[in-house]
Amino acid sequence: MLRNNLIIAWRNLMRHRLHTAINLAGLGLGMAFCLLAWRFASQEWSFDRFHSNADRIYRVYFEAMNPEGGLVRYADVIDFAFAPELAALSPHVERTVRLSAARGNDIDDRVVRTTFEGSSRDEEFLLVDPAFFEIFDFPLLLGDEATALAERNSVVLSYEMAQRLFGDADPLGQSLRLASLATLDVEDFTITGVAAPVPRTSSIQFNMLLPFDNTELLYHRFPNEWEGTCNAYVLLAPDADPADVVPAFVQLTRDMAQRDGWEIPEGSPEDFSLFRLQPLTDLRSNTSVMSFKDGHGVVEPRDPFVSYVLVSIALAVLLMGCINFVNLAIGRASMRAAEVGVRKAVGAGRGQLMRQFIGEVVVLSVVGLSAGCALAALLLPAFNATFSQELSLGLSEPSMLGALGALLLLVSLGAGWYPALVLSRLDPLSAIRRSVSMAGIVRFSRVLVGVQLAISVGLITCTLVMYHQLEHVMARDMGIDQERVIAVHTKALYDLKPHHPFLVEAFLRHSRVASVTMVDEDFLQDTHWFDYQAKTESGRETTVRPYMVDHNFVETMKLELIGGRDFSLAQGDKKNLALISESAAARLGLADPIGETIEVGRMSRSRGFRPVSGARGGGALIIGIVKDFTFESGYEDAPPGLLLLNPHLGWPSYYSVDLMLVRVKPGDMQEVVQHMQESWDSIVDHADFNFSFLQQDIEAAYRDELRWRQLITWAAVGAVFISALGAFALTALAAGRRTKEIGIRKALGASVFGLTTLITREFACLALIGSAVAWPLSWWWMRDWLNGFAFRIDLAAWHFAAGAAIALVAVLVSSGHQAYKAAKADPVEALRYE
Amino acid sequence: MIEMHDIEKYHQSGPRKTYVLRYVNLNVAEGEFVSIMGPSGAGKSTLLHIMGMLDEPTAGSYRFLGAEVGGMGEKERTEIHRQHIGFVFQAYHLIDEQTVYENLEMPLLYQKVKGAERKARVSELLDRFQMVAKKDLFPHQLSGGEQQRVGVARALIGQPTLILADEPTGNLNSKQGEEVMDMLRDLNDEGTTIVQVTHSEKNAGYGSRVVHLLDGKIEQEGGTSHAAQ
Repeated sequence: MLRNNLIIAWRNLMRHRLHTAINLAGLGLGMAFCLLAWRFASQEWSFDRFHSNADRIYRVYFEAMNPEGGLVRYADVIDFAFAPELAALSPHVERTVRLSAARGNDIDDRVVRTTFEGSSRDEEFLLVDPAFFEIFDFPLLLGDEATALAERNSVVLSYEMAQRLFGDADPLGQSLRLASLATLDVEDFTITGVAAPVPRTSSIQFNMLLPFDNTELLYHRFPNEWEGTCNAYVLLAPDADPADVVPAFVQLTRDMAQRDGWEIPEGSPEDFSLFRLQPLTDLRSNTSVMSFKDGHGVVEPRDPFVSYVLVSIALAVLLMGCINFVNLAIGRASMRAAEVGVRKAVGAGRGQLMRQFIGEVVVLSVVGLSAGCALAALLLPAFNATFSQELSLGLSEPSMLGALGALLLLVSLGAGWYPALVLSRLDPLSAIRRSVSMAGIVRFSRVLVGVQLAISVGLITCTLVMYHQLEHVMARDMGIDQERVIAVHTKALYDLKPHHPFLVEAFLRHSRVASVTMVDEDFLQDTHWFDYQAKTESGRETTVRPYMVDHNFVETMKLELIGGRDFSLAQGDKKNLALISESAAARLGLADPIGETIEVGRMSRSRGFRPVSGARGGGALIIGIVKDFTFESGYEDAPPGLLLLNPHLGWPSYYSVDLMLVRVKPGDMQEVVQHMQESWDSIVDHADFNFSFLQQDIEAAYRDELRWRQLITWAAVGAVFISALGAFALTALAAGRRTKEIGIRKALGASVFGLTTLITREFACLALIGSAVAWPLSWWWMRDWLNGFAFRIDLAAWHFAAGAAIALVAVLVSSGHQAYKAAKADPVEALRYE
Repeated sequence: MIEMHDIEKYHQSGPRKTYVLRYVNLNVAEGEFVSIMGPSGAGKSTLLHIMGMLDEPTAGSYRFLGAEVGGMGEKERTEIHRQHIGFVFQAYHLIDEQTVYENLEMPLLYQKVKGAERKARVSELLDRFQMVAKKDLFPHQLSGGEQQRVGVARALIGQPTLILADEPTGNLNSKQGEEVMDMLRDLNDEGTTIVQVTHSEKNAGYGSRVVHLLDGKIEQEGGTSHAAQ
């Protein structure tokens, strides 16, 4: 029976090749999307679960009300002494481990200069307690977990780093020289282990492990003081509950209050504590616990919403593929009615018929799944690129096989159930006479088409809005020219002999370097802005974004000077001079700002208004006005900009320069970068040349949004494609059913155009109804999304109209083609058919 | 075998009832060969379909082998079908996607007959109807007469006790028609009960009894020349 059903199914598929192709396209595309989404989501959901102690490991975080109100949660600012003290206080804590990857929040606090056989390189490090290997499942390929980190001068390399430095040679016992960029101390370390590659599904990633006691070397801090910044993880005793640790936390909070000289707020509960435990398996998905840019070896969490949206969109596309199948299957029901009737007449039961029809879907699904796997494999590189993933399809993994099976079942039942029910329920007599009433079925199939069109319209509308907004925000006039500007990050030169003038000179030696400007703060990498205030003499003040710059800033960044003059070395400008942006002037109520003096500084809670260095001693004199400019993304309303002449620039010490911006004339950028790299290496020997392209830095802020846009665009294209295919086939079926009607109408003088319209009108109506459903949903989602931007477009009627129009055109073109063909047919042919 | 009492079939459209069958009383005994005759629209096919349980009467009682059909569920009816009834259609109604062999095998699959026995029974019928050479052809590759031979063979494969034939020769030329009628007569001689609907006096002549139907009512019943012989 089964064999027989499969044969029949196969012959049916082969006989209706066009329908089979359309179904395969829809199901294959939907399944490919589902496979990719599933791979992504299952990776997200499996994060950190590979540790055998995963359910007992917790990270300590600090929770407090911040002065502005609102709860803040930090995991990265735990004092060094905390974890050992906690272990001593609580019997429920079996082990603790501290992880620290940075002294502070600067990029240069995160790397250590390593020298091996004469070649140097900045490497990221992670300080860990020896219990690291006991608590976590990070096995060593070489070396012994128990002793690898016992000696202070030992270092464990990641697999990647070991490969890079040693290839296949044995690194154990080799010596590596480490120099702290923060403290400038230098020491030799011995390689005692090589870790197995860390799974991608680990929140904790590392490049090089050093014993925690090296805080002295790297941070100039003792490893057990009530200071410092690290992550503290605890391994609870097997029978312990996180609540059991609370008494110890209460004690630690009281001690902390006493140590730091503050009072526990009145009215606090008896068990007031600032510390909480976060399960290790929560690290990936909990975005509410704040972290440094890269935490202490912990990769940035990802909002689980991403996985849900991804899976939902994939399922929506699959649903559309299934809808095509259902519609074609029931659209063909009248043709298959005779077969059903005969089968019933020779004794087929309903169950047997249903099994036969479901069998057909199963065969189709299996083929569709193969197509889906192939398509997923094709899309995978693009998908990985979009989401910065390194996913593989992993078709041989047991979990993936399970997922494939589930997908097959879902599609077979989802798509097969209704047509099987309809077909097997056909009354044998009317079936044999081919007088099946299609009214109910057609109505249901219209609803399905409406759903398809709603999904299409919704996705297209979102795509349009996203394109519009991102173009709007990315192409907005920032008041600067960020193209062809190389940013050189020079924070590593801090506290050293002044390299900057030599670097500028060396850079300018290349004929295509137009100009170089120096800025005191690397605002491209440090996102921690303070709120700065500008004050006029009359006492008006406003929030501003001051930039401490040199004489070349306006020229290099191509700011537009609209009044007064630029800073000028020739005129002996040295300090306490400012260029003000139009908006800042307006907010300060300065109609004619040139010649005015303003104070610029920030409010310190303890010491009041603190002028910034470019405006100390009587404020800064405004000598010019520039058009508004910003370096910031459009997510937030940035305060108006203000330029202050860096007072240190005229001095022999250039220490207060963290960023150099280099404008390059048209031509090959890479060649200039090469020149700058060589110049750097000839002047600086203790740190790597660290550069970026300003344009990319600015666009990086939109990375996530660009991903979303990419994804929604794919989904929209897939959805429209599937809808169009469905419309194509459905029109052909409808035209087939209405052959006689078309013939009669034509014989009575209907025009081809009139008939085409008659047949396609239905889709136009459905597109409108679908749009009516899709519009509020996409409006709601897009409004929410747009609210993430301060600089945003307004949702306009045309976004929605265009979304509907595109879906409509796609459907009408594919449906119209079939309708036209039917309408063109010779009426005599059509009538003879009866 | 068949006991029909006051069978009625009508379509209700608004207050009007359109009768297809009215007060039909008909008994068919085992081993009979009954021909139902009458003009188009007389209700012949409907009567046949009700006998074959493809259709249900609006009123009246229908007993098949002593059991009241009206009270049966779909499952029971399907069961009776499989065991007792074989259908022959005017338009053959073979499954286009299946070969001759598969068309014949189909009813046995639905009856869950084991593979070896299926093969034996299909082979036997192929042999008997001289279709062995054509067993792997699809219906559209056969002539009308051949298709109807397969149709009759398929009706027989389940070893039914009753064969219902709806104008079995309607689409055939006279020579092919005779062949099919001869087959039916042979079957009847072997003991199978046959009820056929026909337009043709000649075909009716093959049967033992003729029932004339006009406007849904039985007009007259009588023996035939064949029975008289």
